[in-house]
Amino acid sequence: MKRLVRASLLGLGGIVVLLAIWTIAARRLGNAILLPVPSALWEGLRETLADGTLARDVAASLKRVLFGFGLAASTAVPLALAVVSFRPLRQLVLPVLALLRPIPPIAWIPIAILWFGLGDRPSYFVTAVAAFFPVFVSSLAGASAVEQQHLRAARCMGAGRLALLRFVYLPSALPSVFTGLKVGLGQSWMAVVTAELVAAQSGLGYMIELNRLQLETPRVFVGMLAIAVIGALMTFALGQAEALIFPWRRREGTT
Amino acid sequence: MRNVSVSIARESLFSLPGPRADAHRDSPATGRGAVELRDVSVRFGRPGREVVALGDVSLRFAAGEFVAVLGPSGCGKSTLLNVIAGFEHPTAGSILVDGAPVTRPGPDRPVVFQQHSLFPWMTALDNVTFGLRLAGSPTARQHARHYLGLVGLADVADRYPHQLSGGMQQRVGLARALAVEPSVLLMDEPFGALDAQTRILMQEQLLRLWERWRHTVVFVTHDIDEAIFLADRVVVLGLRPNTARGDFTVDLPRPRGREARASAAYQRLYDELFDRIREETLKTFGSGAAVAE
Repeated sequence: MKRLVRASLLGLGGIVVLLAIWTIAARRLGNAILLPVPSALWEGLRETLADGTLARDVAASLKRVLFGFGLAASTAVPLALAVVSFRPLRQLVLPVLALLRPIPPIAWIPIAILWFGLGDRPSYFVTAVAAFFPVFVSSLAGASAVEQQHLRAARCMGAGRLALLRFVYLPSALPSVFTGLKVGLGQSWMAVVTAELVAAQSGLGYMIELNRLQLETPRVFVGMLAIAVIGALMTFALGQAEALIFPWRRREGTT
Repeated sequence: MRNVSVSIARESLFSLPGPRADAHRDSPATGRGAVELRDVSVRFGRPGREVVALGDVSLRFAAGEFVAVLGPSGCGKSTLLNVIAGFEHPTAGSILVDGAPVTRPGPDRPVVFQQHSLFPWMTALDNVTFGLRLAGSPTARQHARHYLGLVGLADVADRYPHQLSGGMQQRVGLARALAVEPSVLLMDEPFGALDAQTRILMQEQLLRLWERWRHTVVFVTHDIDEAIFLADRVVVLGLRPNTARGDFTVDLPRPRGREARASAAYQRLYDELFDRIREETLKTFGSGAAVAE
């Protein structure tokens, strides 16, 4: 408990130090457009909250991330499981994915605009691409690491291919799948902001770009702060969910 | 006071067998479960540099027979079990269970493994329920509870494997295999990783349970005492070639208790098996050791 208090105090201290350095630097620079003082952000936050634009942009970005990420997760996990349990599929699919994987999500943006125009759809595509690979790679690693003994035990209890997938491969892979989902969600979130900088007329990426053009620098920082806070909250929420989903990994006192 | 009443309530809840479970309990698996190995060989590796895991083994286990397969490390006793289970395929020969060739694993021949075979993501009860659910049993959970109760673990039904001791995990593994009511039970050194006291208690519990069903048991072990105490018959596998090198009938009355180990018949068989295994094991020490003898 004492340790926890100390850790949170130190963490808070780090933020205070950052704000202090920022304030001093902003004062000495004396150019509110390049670097406003942190307190100016309050103003920006109040305004964007009051006129509802911040909420609207957050909602737009979240919607795109959840959609794209959901699309990625719902294809990457089943594909990884199928690839592990069915060898020909593995040989068919893995080289293709190895080739596509080095292309950064951002590099998909131009082609996404070309294919889907502006608006939500290129963002769905780019966030899906961003999340797909981390989720797929982790799920594949998790499912490949299945214990042979568990497979044998299940097979001699009468499990066929589908039952093995559902009752052995999937739960074995789940902790790794979850790690992949955490990374993938973070990637999606970063990708959506990037996509919105160029390919959308709403969302946090659009907001910071628009306010840059209008020289509303405090609002640019408000947008960036919102991106940071929401990203951190997502990671935290998934970490909490992990403990609920994997009760067998919780180390409680034994007999 | 409160604790006492709670534990009593729990006890009666778990020991109430369902009608279906009860009906099953008293139907012995007689008549089924005859196992036959015909000229079974298992080889690994390329021709010329191949390793013979099992060389030309022919054995017949009668339905309801408790057979221990005994032998030194590397004699292929686990391979023998794996081909009967259907995990591995013989390079030559065939395995028949009740006349039907074994092609793949199945719930008529479940395996109790040495350790770490429970699904860590399932509670003890769900582990036992697993095979029953696959078989589509409508009363799977109730049935599984009954079997957990039979191995004395009704009150840890909702624990995960990592919350159980090694001995308890093996009992859950046994309950899981028994619950599908197999005609053949395959056991691969199931008590090998347990401490001596627990091991003896497990052996006694296994015999008590087996005497109710009398299904065929193929029990692989390197422990001579364990083989004699449990089995009707002990098959010794030897090294180079890895094939049956002896077949002994265990002439001890059942039910067997602690006193079985003190009998003269036990001691005679022990000495005989000891010499036979020693002879086989010495092969791994090279000719020098044999000369020093």
